[in-house]
Amino acid sequence: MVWFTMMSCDTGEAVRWLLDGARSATVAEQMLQQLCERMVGAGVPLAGAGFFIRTLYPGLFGRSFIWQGGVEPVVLEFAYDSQESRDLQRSSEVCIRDSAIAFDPAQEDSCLNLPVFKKLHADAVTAFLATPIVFANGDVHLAVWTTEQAGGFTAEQIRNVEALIPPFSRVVEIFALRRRATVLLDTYVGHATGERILAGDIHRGHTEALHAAIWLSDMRGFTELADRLPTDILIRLLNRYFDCQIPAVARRGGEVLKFIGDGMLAIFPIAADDGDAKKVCSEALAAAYEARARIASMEQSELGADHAPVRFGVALHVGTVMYGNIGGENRLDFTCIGPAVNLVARVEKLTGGLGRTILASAAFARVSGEPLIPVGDFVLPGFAQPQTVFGLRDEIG
Amino acid sequence: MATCDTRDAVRWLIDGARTAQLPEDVLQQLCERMVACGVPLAGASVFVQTLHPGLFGRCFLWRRGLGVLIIEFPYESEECIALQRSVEAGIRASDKVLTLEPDREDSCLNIAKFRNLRAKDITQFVATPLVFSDGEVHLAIWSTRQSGGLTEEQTRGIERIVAPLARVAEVFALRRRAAVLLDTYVGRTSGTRILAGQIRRGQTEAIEAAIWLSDMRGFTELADRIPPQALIELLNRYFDCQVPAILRRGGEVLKFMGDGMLAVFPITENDGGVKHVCNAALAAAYEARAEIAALERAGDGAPVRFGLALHVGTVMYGNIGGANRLDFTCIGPAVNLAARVEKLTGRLGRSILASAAFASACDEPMVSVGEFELAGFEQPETVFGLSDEIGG
Repeated sequence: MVWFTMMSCDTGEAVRWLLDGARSATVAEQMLQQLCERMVGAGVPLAGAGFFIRTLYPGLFGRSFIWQGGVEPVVLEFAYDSQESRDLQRSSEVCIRDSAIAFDPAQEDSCLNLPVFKKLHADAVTAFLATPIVFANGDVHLAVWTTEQAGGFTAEQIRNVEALIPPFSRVVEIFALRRRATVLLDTYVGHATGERILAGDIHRGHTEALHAAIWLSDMRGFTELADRLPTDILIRLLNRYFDCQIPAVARRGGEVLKFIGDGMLAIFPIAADDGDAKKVCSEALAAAYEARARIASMEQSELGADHAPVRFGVALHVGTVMYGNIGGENRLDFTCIGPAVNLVARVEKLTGGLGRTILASAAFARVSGEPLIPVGDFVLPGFAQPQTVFGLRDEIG
Repeated sequence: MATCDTRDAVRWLIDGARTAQLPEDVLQQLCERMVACGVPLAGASVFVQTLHPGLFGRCFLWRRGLGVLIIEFPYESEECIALQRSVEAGIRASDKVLTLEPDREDSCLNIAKFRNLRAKDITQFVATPLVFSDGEVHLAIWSTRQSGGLTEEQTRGIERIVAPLARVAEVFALRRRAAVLLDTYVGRTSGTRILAGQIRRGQTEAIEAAIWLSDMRGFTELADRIPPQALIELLNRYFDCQVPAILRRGGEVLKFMGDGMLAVFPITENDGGVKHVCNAALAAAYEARAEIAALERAGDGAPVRFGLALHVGTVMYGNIGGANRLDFTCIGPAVNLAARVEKLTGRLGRSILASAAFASACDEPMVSVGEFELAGFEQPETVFGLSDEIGG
């Protein structure tokens, strides 16, 4: 019986920690690491553990979280249409069952080719234990536990792992749902805006004055294209056109606020003390250069041979916008409005007439300190004085 | 004597309360299980604060034999302020069970909406915090009529279910949060599609819909002239005149563009077909027009006027955008036509105009206001107006 006492394990503390919401962990990989350390401490001889969940993501089929002993846990992401995603999709029904199943690493089994298993595979591993993670809505995901103990897990250890699965499932579900809200807002509202909303800024009347560089772009001749092109080609064109701009904007601290057909409104927020205004404007201009280059090299073939190259116009301005929730009843828009937005819209309209791609307001030219050249004074609605508009040296109007 | 073992209820909760579809079902089934295993509950309420544009939180109120009532607390209502204070004072300080005196004046029980819970003969209330994994604290209150209140064992039975209940409440609250966020910023129909997995670019489909495109006459001039805060208030009131009228009739607001608004009324078999949907869209238009007519412009008190175009046709509906920043919207020639008809409203001095397709689909006879060459369309389009509007 001494032998039995030595080998006994009690994961009751880990269960309680999970039931309490695993509150010492802030992200899923941390939660997995802390759980595994607790399990090892409680006598479950884990060598590694991982779980795979399908996600609601624009670009990802799912994510895996992998813990292996002393090293930092890793997160694997599986893009749609990747081989791994196809494998995962195909085998999830076969490899995920109602209860725990043990896999012998020495045996041939197609489940062992799943990325979660492969990642946890090591020469010393003696057993895999696969357990389902069942969400409250019935969705089934997968967790895998490994050991290097000779002979694999004992029956008692397996019972202890199984006892952890329901509370573990709740916590995985909670982390997945928290992330889902963040991803949905990142996707449809924008990242920084999404963070404000999740922090409670979800009521009308929550608007604040924000100093920012403002970007407004549209595609030259889009309306005519929209009437002429088949809609599926138009959508493909729009998607590729936005691909030329959004990463360039996002990488430089910009936030896409709105799409209006082919139009795109973005802001690059400036710190409250204005200390980084020059740098922010330079970043916005660099994003405009990058977008211009990418759009200039867009492949024409997909759009049909009769196609003229896609051209666009972007106006840059710097000023104060009112940023926040506007809308009716419970249907809101988190956006920015104000005279600064109106000005940028009017400058943008000049790009076509002047035959230029990038134009900037006088305020933008001044704050950015970039060597922009004046292209003329224009009477713009809403302004008593004609406004000087600036262009780039490398563009000839 | 009366043993009470809530472990079965605990297991059921930890398993995700999967026999329950809705949060009210969870509470109902949980309370029934607790009563069956010897916790003599008279009532129970779970209050959860929500991330919602209009609601501070929701309370699920179960009374033995009466089922579950859902009470919504509007933001900034008196109750919600009282609730917030009680939660903070009574619960946040405590990490475990708190017994409330039924007669104490400052307890959460004084909130008007909880009066139901303060039914006759209640001998004890027990409040337990529901702590979410991010540290947010919500609240559950349990009541009994047992003389002398709950026994220690019964109280322990309640204590045992608090953590698992918090996990299930959190799962349900987070699921609802995702839906509410999409309802708020993307629109309900689009949001439902997104949550069902339609979140990838390229996922667009052709749908038949009535199309609504409106804007405020003279907005740009106003935006240059009045202070931004006044402009935002005006816009909010202006959208209040349209959004509820649209949503109530099955429409979906897809996009705000400054003062502009794009909405669709999808046509499905269950909606009674194109005629029914166009009638609904026209009814929403009448309502919005009446509401807007009663608005006064901030500052100068001038009336607010708007222009609205209605059309019906096929649109491509789905995800468009770049990288991982998408827009769930609709595009296509039918949207372009609506935009061009809308531009005619100012010129013709009319509020509501409709395309020939829309006019022929709805029951109400509309009057032709002329034929117009519209950019992008080969044939001149006959545009229709309402018989109660006189152009000029």
